[in-house]
Amino acid sequence: MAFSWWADAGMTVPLSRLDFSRTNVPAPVDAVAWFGNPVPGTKLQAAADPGAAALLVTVSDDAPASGVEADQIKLANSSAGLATASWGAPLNLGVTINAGTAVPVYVRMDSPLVAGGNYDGIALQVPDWVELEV
Amino acid sequence: MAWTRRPLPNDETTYQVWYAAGQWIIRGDSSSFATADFATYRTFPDVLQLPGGSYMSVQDLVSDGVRWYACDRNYGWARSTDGLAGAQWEFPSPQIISPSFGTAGAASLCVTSTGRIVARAGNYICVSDDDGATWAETGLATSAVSVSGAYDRPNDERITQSGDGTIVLTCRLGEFFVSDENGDTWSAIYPGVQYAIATVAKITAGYCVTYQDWDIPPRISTDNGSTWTDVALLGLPRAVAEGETLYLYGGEYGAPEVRVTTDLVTWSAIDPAGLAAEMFEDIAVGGGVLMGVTRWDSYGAYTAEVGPAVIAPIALPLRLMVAGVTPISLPLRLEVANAGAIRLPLRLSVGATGAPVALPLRLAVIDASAVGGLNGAGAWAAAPDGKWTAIVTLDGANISTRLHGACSVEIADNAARTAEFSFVPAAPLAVMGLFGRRVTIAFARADGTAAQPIFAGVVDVPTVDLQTGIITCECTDQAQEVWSNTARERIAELVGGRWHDALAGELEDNFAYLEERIQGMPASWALDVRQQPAVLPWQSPARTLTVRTADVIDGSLSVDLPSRDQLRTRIVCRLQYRFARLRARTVQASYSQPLSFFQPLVSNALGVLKQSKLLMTVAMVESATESVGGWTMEWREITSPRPGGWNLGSNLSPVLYYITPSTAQTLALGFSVRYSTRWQQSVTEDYTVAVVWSGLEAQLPAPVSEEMGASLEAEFDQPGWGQDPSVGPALPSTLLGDVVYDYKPAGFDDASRDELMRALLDRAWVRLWSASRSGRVSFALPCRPDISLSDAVALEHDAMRASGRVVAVTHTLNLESGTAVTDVAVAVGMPGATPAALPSWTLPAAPQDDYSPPISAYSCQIGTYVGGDPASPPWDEETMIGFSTNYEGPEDPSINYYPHQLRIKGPDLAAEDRDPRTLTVSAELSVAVPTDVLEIL
Repeated sequence: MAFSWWADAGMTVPLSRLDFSRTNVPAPVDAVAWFGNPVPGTKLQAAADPGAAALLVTVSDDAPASGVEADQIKLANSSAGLATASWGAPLNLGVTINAGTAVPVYVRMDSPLVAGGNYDGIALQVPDWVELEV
Repeated sequence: MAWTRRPLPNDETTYQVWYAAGQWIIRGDSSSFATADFATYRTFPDVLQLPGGSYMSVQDLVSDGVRWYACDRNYGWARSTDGLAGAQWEFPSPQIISPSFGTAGAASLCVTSTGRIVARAGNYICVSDDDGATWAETGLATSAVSVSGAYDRPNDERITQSGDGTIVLTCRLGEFFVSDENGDTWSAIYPGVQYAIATVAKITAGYCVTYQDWDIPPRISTDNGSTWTDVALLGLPRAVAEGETLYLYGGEYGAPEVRVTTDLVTWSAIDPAGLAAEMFEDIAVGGGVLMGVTRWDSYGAYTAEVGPAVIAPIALPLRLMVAGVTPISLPLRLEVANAGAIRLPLRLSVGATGAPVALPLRLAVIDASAVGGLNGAGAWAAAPDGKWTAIVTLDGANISTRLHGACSVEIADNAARTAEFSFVPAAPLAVMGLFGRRVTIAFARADGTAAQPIFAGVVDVPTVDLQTGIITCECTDQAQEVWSNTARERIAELVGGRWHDALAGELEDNFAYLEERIQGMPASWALDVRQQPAVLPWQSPARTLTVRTADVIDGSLSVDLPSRDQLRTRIVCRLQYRFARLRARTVQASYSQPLSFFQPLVSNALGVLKQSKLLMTVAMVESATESVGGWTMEWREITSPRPGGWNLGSNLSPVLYYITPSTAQTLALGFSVRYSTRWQQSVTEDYTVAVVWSGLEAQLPAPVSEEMGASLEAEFDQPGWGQDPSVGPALPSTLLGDVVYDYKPAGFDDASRDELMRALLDRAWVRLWSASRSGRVSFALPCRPDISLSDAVALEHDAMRASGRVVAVTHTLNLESGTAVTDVAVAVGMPGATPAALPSWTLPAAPQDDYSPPISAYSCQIGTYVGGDPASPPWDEETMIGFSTNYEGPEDPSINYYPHQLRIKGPDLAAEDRDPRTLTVSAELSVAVPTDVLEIL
């Protein structure tokens, strides 16, 4: 099994999309997702410089200037960390994530959108990785 | 060198001599004298009166060249205030030199070349650098070497400093103790003979040791005590040294001999000319003069001019200290191994890479009016015509257009969220393949807008209608599985509150851990609509919805009041805290008879009235004292009779009673033995604490109670502890009495016990509340998908007022008609609307064990039984425990005779000391529990 996103810390429920829901009164909305691999035996490192460079979570926007923008997303390792995180900044997950351990990614979305509907096109991603045997 | 007799002023018989600061102090049987020239003598105190009026004897005497220091092992120590005159004395504070010993005084003293006072108090070696104002314990003078025959000899308990600075301490043990660091540290030296040492003399060449026993030769060591050889010289030898000259005295009565050496290899002898036929009881050397004192026949003292002693060079040790620098060492190692390649394995790790691991985000914006407050305005604004639709995905595919019949979602406290829907598959479908397929459900306006997610999970039970081909899926949100996979640390973080592992024992499953842990908090568990674990407090809801009459579907309102059989007014908490109490007991057995007890009873007029009695022997004492069942001998002292002759009659009709020196040391008048034993006892602190909801109990005719309990046991896993002294933990030693140590390792100590008690009381309080919270107010609303378990409801209905948190929600949608309702259940407790918080608890005090052993627990049985007399009762083996003897003389068959023996019976351990002990505590804690609004109008 590969490293992927999960709805819970125990990596029971795979997560294919992280939904935020609010009324048409703009307000920040928080959610949390977990990143990891429940099957031990491997580790994930940054492909650019394994064991030295940090693994990052970035915000990608398929259609800039429409829908939710990357700079309307904050990422943090904890709920409290959202208060001081920078909008649009990547999140450092550390140099190595060992399989069997899930790391939380707290997300805050603060979009001015008010028209009713579903807004997609933006995503979190771990862009640069290599999975190695432990 | 020849001897000169030095008769004392009153022909005193003498037995002890000290030399210090040019003064000789000679101790006689009744008084002491001091002299510097053997021409003039003055009396010197051998007993000093303490400030409290009692007396201390001068058992050891030393000088720093300015004044005298004297000590008594049990009563105190003193310092002369008139220099070396020794007529005026003071008793410095503290008199208790060793707090561990706890008794005033010292057995021996020494003032070292640096002015430091070294003393031995009990078994503790103490030093003082401020003339006795403060003391530090730097050594322990105890020995594992068992000795026999220890008895009192003059100056056999001494602390001396040799010419090379070594401090030597003797104390009637088989080992002696030395310090070459001015008393800061001490080490024991065993010369290889299991007998009490009398003297030790030290010169640079080595040690010379003598023993109290007449027949044990002196021993010398020239390798710092590692190996020893005998010196062929018998007869109570004594060794002293001055500077680098060592004098060894010994010899049979009437044939004294003094040998001299400076290297322990070559010896010379002092010419015995001038000595009468006597034996020295003690010797001392100083100022080039050797003095021996005699005890017998009033010969007094003798001196021999031995000339100036060889003085050890005055050394000035040099030490270079570089402070604050740690040597940087670089160990080098050369290994010559079998020739071969030195390998360094290389590894190339090739990992899998791939596309970015992406997680799409979606923002769903719905009209605020769709989740407007329930204020009696009627149906939800988002569906003004009451028409709904369900948006259902199966493995990500939207199957909403193929749905059939009804779609429902049930949400409840402490349960998995479930859903059920039916659909017509687009193509033939393997029903069994639906197990575990992912499902999401949202309810939306009939046109599909403003969708609100209400379920995410997997297909649990799929069924198929064979007539229609319609597939029905029962789904679950996998709550139990998700909680089971959630780490306990995360569960603890979510639930909070107090917890102790002893509440539930070993729990293999994290879901079981959740169910146990949450019993101490007023909260329920569930998953949220994203399938993330959530803990829902019974108080402090996320929001409170006001539901009025117009909101409620007619006829749907009902109430189930809290039932009496579910109510609890008190929870009785039982906590048992068990641990091992490690115990040690030290007792002392003493037995003594005066010599007159054994001597014949003589009348001047009638002669011998009663024959003498057989004396106790040293061997008898040794055998009996070493075989007291259940007790280990720690220390023993045997008192032998003084050799000599007594005329018990008159000059005209003498009755002579004579004990020779060689016989005296085989006999015993008495003994003191210290025994110890140790054992463990199981102790249980048994707490019964009732948590009482007094307000409710007052309303009911009788208390309704429930019990809950926990136990905490600190297991002691050292089975050999009671028998093997080397098995830890060690207990502090005591001279007499008990030492108690409760074994409570970390995690099982008093703090853990209190933590467990508080966690148990938390559970009790939560139980009281949960029992009262069994009431349910239920009603149906036009569909409100946004109502969740984190909401509370304030019901303002024409028929009822109630408030409480939502504990169950069911959303049901009829897909054909588009109508949907939401059934809501609210938990309500006892009426009152009074808040209350989880108490912080004031715990009852730990129980105290009031039992204290009687004095008999420390007493040995040693009686005295004399046979061979017409009045002697028959021998009784069972009851006549102690020393038994007989009158001497021809046996008479009509008289009872007893075995000549000694038996000692140690004290038994009482049941209260030995058996498991339970200490109970009962308490009642009154609490308040939250109540809710519940009014039937």
